[in-house]
Amino acid sequence: MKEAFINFKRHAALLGSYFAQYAKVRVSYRGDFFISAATSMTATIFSLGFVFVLFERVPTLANWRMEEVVFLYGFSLIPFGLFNVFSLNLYEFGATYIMEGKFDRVLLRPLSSLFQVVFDAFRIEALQEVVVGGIVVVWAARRLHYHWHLVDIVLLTLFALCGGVIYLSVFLFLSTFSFWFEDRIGIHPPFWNLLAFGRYPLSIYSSYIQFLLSWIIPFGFATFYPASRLLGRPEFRVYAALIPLVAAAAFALAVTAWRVGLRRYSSTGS
Amino acid sequence: MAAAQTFPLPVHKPSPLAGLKVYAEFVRIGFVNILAFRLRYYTGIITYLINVTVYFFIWRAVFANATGPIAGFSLPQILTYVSAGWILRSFYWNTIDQEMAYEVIDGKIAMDFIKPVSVQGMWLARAMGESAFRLILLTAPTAIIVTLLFPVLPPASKLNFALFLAAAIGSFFIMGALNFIIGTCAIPLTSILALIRAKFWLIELLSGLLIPLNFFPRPIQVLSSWLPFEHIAYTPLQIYLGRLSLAETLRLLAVEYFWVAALLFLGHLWWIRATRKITIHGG
Amino acid sequence: MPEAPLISVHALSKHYRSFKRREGILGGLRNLFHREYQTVKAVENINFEIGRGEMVGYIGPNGAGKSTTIKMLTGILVPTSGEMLSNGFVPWRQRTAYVKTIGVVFGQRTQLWWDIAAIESFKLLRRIYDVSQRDYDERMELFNQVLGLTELLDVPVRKLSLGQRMRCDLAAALLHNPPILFLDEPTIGLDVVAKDHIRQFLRAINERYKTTVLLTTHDLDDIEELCRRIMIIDRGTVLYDGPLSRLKEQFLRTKQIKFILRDGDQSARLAAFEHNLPALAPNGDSSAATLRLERLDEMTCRLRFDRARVSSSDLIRQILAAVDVRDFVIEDEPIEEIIKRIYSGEAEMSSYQPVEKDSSPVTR
Repeated sequence: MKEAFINFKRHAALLGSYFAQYAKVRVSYRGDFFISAATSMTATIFSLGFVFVLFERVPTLANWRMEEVVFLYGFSLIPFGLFNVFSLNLYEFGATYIMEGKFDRVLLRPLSSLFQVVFDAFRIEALQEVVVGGIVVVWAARRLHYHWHLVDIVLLTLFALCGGVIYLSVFLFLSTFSFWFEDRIGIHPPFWNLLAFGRYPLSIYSSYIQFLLSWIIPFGFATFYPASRLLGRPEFRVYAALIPLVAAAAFALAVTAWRVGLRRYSSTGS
Repeated sequence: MAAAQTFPLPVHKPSPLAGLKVYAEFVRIGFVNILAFRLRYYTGIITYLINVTVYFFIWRAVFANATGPIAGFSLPQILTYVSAGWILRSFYWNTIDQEMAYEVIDGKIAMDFIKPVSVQGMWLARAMGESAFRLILLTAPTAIIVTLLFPVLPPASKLNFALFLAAAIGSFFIMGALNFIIGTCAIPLTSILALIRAKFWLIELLSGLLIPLNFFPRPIQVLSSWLPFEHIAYTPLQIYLGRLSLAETLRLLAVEYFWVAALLFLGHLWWIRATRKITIHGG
Repeated sequence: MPEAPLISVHALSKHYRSFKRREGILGGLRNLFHREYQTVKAVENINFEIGRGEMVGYIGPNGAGKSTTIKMLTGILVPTSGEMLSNGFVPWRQRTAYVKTIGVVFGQRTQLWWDIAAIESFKLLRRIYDVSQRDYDERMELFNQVLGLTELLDVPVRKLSLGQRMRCDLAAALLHNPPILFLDEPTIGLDVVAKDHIRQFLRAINERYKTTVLLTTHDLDDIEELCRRIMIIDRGTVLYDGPLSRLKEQFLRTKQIKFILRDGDQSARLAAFEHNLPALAPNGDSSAATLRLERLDEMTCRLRFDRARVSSSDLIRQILAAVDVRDFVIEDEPIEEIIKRIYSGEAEMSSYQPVEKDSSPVTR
């Protein structure tokens, strides 16, 4: 127990060093950083286009007012942005770590392999999604005459963090497939498309899809349930209390999958 | 002053057919390349099914309270639009921009300079191989599953279907030419991940795939008619649904193919510019 | 009292299941739906022990199982069967504790952060390996002296030449002063000066810290300059394990005499000598392996002979009697030739008897 704590402290201390190391890399490519930040932000704004164009024509979606859907959409960007700070390594895990053999190097260092992979890069520019999402949420809240209480802000922060953990867990879990299947692109793309599901009220989908998004790939717990709770909508209220539990369970499952994958890797080597 | 002397060097002139053979080889490589990854194949089919499903439910919810057509679309029409749109996308989509980016990072792109073929032609040939693969193994099964699961209307007429196919081929070329332009950006920029993502959303939106362009505010529709993107999905799908007169259809097809030529030419120029820079930096 | 070996490997095997890729479009289509596998025995029942301070060369053709062995020794791979103890650890069972006690350099891949100055990598590695500032400073000073790192440290790693990068990589692998160092092709692609630099450094480290070194290489000069002991592996099994000197003794078959003729008038006499060559061979056996004369140029000749069957002094006497020679030299068959014969199975391994291990540190 004490050993685990010391180990944790060691990794926590090194997190700062890893961040500093990556910051140095980014500073050496300043131009690239700004271009990347600008294009990412453009991408985020384009992705909002669908909702805004759609609501030009229709006032409500399954009893959700346009501003409420926009609030949900905006909120969904916040945990996603937090997750995206670390997502690059997960997307590229199959290509650079497994296929190009960088993972051998990871195993030769006296640190947790998961730690080294997740914190090898910090895409700080992904925080633009948090910013854009925040602006959209504030805009929608104003149109809804939303009264922000301290509790709401605390809850929003907590939900956003849990959502980030859920995204991280799902995509980490998917990355572990690279231990079994060699492919540069990996298994992520369809799930990346699944994200779109979570950005609209779950009530528009059939019950199968609602079940899928709650209990199989719990994106609903990252976006819809928290946003419903924040908006004070009646449907699915009990689910909000489960959010931290789902995040913890998803993370535990992903870490277990990683361990199994690690064992597989060390018995095949590629 | 000595006049420049010309020597009658033996010039090896490859027959045009031999040139085609080289590209055919790249088409084959593109095809086999995708075949090598079965995971990508299975996830590909699932991706398309997911997308059709998401937009199916969204549109159904949109029309739930509607009393008549919205922006000239009835519910069956819009559901067909979405389904046919994603089936079409499974054909025209390719990832040569991403592959070019990988090759720039690996330094493999240098090998392209020494191949005695047009680099653009080579990448397009690879994309063609990829699309041929998609057509047979991705588009066809996706189309079958989607038509079984969702209410898809048949094309307006045989002629409409034929013209839709012609437009779909144009979609492929516009997409391929655009991706070549984006991929070439990897040479000066090295990391084009964000650029690819921005292009992704721009095209999903302005191609009319996610939402027909006549849902857009008027000024954006006007702006869009001066851009190539709407010919990727909106034009072929309008033709499929028979929402245009024959004259209008033919006019749009002509505009689409004008854009094919223009984008290929632009890509050609951009490649020359981007690679000139590389030699200055000495690689 | 004999010291316990630092690394001991017993009956180690590693088998893979590999996927058989079918060729062509049709084959590719079939691959989508059905796959066939085959078992590859990358390493098959190898045994060895390495003592503290030894420098061992591990050689073999591509795909012989060298990298697989190194990966098992470094804890990356778990063997299919067999046992291994390295520095008191079972590598794959106590990975993080074990890797703190080893240094690894892959010649083709760097462990340094590519885009930033090498010194930044050193600073982070110091923290990763918990090296105290004092030890760090002391070692960096040694590395600076022997490897001349000073002018390299502030350059982004991607701008370093291969040789410069290798110097930095070696220093990075040794920052935590590991008792064991694994090197996978440390001199691959380097020029002569850079190779020499690396070898000198390895000798210095071995001398100063008694670091045990296991290196794989295709460059036999590495072995001749660094290792007293050599292990040859092919198709997953160890073919030879022992001192380099014994390898020569045991498998050296041919020697060669190079001689330079005094003047151009010797041609006729040389032809006569060549004609009489079969008579010099024992029992008139003049097969190519026993005696062979080649003309390297107008004046230079090379006579190869089987050292077991023909005595060199006899041969020299005969040459001197037959032609007028300005200069001559006797050489052993190059070590490459010996190893090539071992790989091809020509050298009779059955005649080789493993002798008791010589585990004294090599500090030449």
